Amino acid sequence: MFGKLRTVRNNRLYKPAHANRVLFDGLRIVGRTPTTEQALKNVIEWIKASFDATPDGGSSAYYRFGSGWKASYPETTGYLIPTLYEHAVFSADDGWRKLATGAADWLLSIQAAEGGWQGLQVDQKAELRVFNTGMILDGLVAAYRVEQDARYLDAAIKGMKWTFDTMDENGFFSRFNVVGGGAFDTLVVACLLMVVQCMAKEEQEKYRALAKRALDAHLSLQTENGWFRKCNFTGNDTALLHHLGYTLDGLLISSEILGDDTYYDAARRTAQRLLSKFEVNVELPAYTKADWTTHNDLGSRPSQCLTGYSQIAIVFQKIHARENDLRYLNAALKINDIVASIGNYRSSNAGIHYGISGSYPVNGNYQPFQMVNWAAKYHAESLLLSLGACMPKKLSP
Amino acid sequence: MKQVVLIIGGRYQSNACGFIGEFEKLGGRVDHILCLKPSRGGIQRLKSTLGFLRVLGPTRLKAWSIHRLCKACGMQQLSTLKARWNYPGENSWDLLEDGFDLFAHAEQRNIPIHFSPALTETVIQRFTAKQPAILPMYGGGILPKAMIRDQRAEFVNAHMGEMPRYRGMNVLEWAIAEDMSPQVAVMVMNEKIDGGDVIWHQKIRVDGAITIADLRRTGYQHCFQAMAQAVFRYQRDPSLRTPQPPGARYYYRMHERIRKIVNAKLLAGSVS
Repeated sequence: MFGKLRTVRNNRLYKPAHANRVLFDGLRIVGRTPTTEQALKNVIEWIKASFDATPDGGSSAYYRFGSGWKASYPETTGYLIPTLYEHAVFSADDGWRKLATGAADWLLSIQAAEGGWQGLQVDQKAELRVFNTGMILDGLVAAYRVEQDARYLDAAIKGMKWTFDTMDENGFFSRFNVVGGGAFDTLVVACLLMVVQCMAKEEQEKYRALAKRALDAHLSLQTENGWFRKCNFTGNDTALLHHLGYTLDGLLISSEILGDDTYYDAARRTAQRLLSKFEVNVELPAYTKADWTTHNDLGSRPSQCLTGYSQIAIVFQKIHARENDLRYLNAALKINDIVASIGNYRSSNAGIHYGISGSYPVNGNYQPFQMVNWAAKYHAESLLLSLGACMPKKLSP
Repeated sequence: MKQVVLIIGGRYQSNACGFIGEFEKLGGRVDHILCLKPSRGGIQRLKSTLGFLRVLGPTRLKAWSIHRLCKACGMQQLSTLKARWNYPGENSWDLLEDGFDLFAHAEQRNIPIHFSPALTETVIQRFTAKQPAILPMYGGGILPKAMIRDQRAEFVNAHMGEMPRYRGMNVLEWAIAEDMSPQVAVMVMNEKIDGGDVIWHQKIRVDGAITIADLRRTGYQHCFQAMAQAVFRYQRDPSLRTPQPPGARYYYRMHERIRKIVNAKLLAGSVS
């Protein structure tokens, strides 16, 4: 009883906008399914609100029911940049490009002298972090490719060198990293490779070899059945769908840039399990155990991780693009519809209006009572991909 | 020769009529018909009579309130969104007409009809005690493992996809989407979904410009034709039964965007 009252107080569930959202999620009521274009418009509107909520050019990490908009989050602002550039082209609206460039400039302004970026949000004291730095490199490479301004590439190269310097003798990023690193760092490697491919040819070989070493090390975390160990930022023995999403996308991008199918095949093995798990139940749980069974984080039932959903939809679309296997596109379209319907929620509160929650229902274990900018980013990217509006991560030769 | 025991669930009379008609044309004879009908004992009858009161039950009231809330707010239930990919109205009982009165036909041909509320080992053993049987299945749900393992009872079903390439759902549409020619496979069921040994394959002929509903109707017709062929021949030649080669692919409910592609191909008459 007191626990419930505390939840109401801490998350300000006495506010109608918050209470409504909790009620609708609890009753499994979602918005009407919008068209892809309308869904994109909705989520981009929320992303814009997340930028407007901060004074520095970054995107607010999340809207938390209990405390409102959080400060800018360098990591996720980083990977929002390519999505904003893609949306600028898709919508033929230069305003999104300016927003992306402003975000990239802000990231340059907060880069540490060593080359990396801090963890957590910008208003919190945190040491430099490998994972966060990697995601920022994705943004800076996109800014460099669009703006052709060497400042972005120089900063990215500095960040890339710092990150490689932290790599341990086994090929893992165990230092300066969240929970001592994990399978999700394949996406860090992919981001490092995005930078490497922008460097002069003669400089690339050394770093490509280092990246391969790291990828091979991280592949050892994949189990026989395609599941990944160390695939959760909380370091427990379940894999969070969001972090599986990072892992698989990292492998796919790395495989594309390196031209090495080993990493693609590994990602596909996991994707195949996820495809059947999704299609049989028309949902994916937020957390899975080592034998792919569901972890019930809400007592007798599981919540769903919407960020992970969209990331897996992206992975499925990439597999479809490569193999022309329509089953993957089919599942990706369904996931997009599910997330778009959950996100098609209007509210007088800008933090909730068209926001994508960390968990569904919103009181799930992952980022509870929060609309997170990384869920919005991946949903937007998945929609853009389905509209054929994403720029490839590999530079054309 | 093995006897043939036809199993019919509630809504499959039209498929069963189709099968019997085709099977008899080939010279075959159905030895028994087993109708699966839920028991209508005293409690069930009472429940059914008082069924209207269920509207006032907490579950129904909750469902009704949620429905009203969705309508008032212009929203939908998540389950409604997911049900969108089920495409109601395209099952065999929606698309096929009963060829004849099955019971009158059975009486005329002296085919004994048996009724059972459920498919159980005991019920099946009553048929197989004296003679092994081939049991073409039209309904009946998921079979218990022990029943499937019974060597004297071979449950046979028809599936609208080439095996092992097209296992799962909407496979007829998936074959069109992938520019493959649609087929029916008749299998002796085992524990794996659509994983049984195949006894017969038959191509589905698609003529001219049609819709998905037309395609499915044609598919169901081919299913009972193929079932008749398969059972007739398998009774006489057990060597027809062959395990599926590796390379199974599972398919699931089709999203409407891919369905549109299939529909366009069918309407253009470009499928053969």
